[in-house]
Amino acid sequence: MRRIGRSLLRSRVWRSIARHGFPDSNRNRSLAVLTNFFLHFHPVKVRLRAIRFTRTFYLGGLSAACFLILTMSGVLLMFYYRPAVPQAYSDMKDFAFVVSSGMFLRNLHRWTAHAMVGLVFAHMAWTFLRGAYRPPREFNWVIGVGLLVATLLLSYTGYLLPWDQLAYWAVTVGTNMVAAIPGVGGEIKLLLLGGHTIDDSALLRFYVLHCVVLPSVLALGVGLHIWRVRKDGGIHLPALPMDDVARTTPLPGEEAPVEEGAAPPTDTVRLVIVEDDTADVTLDASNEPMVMTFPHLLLREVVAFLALAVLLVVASLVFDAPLGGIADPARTPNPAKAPWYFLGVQELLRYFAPVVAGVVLPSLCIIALAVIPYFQVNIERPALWAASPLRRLALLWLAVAALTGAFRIGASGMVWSIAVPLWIVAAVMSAGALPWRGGKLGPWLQTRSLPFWIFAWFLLSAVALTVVGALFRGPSWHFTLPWRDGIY
Amino acid sequence: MPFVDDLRVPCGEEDLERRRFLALLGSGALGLTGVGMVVAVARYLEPDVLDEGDGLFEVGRPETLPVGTVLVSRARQVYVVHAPAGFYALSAVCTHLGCVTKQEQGTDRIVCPCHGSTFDVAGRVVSGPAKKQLRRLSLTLRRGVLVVDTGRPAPDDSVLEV
Repeated sequence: MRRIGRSLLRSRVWRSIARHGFPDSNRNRSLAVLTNFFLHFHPVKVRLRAIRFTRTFYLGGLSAACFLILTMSGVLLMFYYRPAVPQAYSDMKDFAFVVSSGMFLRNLHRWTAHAMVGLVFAHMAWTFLRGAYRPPREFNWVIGVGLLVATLLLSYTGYLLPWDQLAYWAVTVGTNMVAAIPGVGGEIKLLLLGGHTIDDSALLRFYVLHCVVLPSVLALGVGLHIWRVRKDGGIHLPALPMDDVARTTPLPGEEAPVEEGAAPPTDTVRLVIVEDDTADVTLDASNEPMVMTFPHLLLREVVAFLALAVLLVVASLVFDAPLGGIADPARTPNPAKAPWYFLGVQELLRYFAPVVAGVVLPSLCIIALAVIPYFQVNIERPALWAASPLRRLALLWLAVAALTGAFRIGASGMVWSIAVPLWIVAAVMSAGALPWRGGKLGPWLQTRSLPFWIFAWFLLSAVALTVVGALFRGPSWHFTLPWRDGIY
Repeated sequence: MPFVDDLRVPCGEEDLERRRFLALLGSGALGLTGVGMVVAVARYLEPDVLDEGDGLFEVGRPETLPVGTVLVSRARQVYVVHAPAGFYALSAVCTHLGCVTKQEQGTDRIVCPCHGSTFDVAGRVVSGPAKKQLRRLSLTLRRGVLVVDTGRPAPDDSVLEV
């Protein structure tokens, strides 16, 4: 067996496919990455700091992995699914009871979609908190915001396809939100649905968007996103003492290895885990430890992907994707809930007019996200409270009071899910003004910038709105207690 | 292989002028084509014929409905109400985001399951988030039978006296 394998690897045909030797030398490992279409977005060597799990939690890569799983399972589902009324729904039943592994595939597609939305959100939050969007990566952050929108749209269009009650009414609410846009809303809704009611034509349009248009956009965007990360020298890492010099001369691992590919270092790399940003003063850009991409980064990627795959497969074996009754335009289920990542918006709809909750606020959020890197935000700066702390405190709480008032007056009731996070964030922020002696917390609080706190407030509000919408809302969107009435 | 550096090829002012004009012409044509394509695609996607049926349906004879009845047609998403002043038809579709409302049993309240808007049987908003009252629909008497046309709205206070 082994001899056959060896001779296959040495055969002329194999050598014509992989045009380098077995990756047992650093030269061949370099070539394995350089000459492989699928690996060439990696550099030949990476900084050891960059591939630590806790540096990124591999959130971006795992999001892309989800997209891969979704594409594969989705294509398989397409072999049976018919985007027509009422076949679409009966095909769901076929997946459950007739098609071999049909239910498993549907489950996998559903749970992976949820995982992808969660991972993309987490990826964005983590990128923000680490400040990885700063120049020169600002446009890549904008692309990332676009990818988030594409992910949500994919999820939304996919939600209609089972043609069950949940799907039908979530899409009814969603398209009526679009219709609330002044002027062009009705026209957009007509184009989206191909009619005035959600029917065959709407299902077909959502199907085409879900299976062709949006995945193509997302695939292209992901390619661009990763390519730009690579062009910017790999993932963002906090500056080392010599990084100012490195701005003009490429860091090892940025451009250099591409040319060096033919002559990699011969010394063995010591696998040391370098501790955090500020810890090691002896470390600078010139002596930063590097490792070969093959196998160190690739191994980690494979392990992370397999861990994710195992998790999703197990989830798909244990939990079945929900399916309501067949879509019935005459009967709205009570309550009619959107998927969890839209529950925040649905909760806002309780308080604000559709055009505000469904169009203005989400658009503002997306625009605010997209422009973040074009302002010098979230860069650590001298303590917020260094100068005239009392005046600044007064200003802060004045703003908090004004915002609270705005959320009372602008809405049909007090929006606690937004106001309480605001108070909490403001309180924590104000704690920075206290005279801190020693410790790490005080300086940390004081060096956070204003945008950091605003982002924290956004994040907390989004979580609060989603949790309230998911757990504390029952029939007719009345407040309920999940431990008393159960979860709707 | 000799390399011809086009940046060093001499070019007269007149030549440059002509090139600029041609470039403008070319990009203009491309731009127009692009706009035309977008318009044509949007026009293509906009349905010209809709097979959504007409909204006419018969409710029944008025004398069979005593004052105070609220007749519900689930399939058509319409309430037909016999108030002391006369008959009127209300669309059951919530004016907030289009969910189908439901009359709360034993009350004269109409509630939307999606976001909790509440209306009275006259269609007026009792509590939000809906802002507009339920749409009244055209209700006529034809050969002694009440006929609703869901495709034709009626004024908010219209009542059919029989």
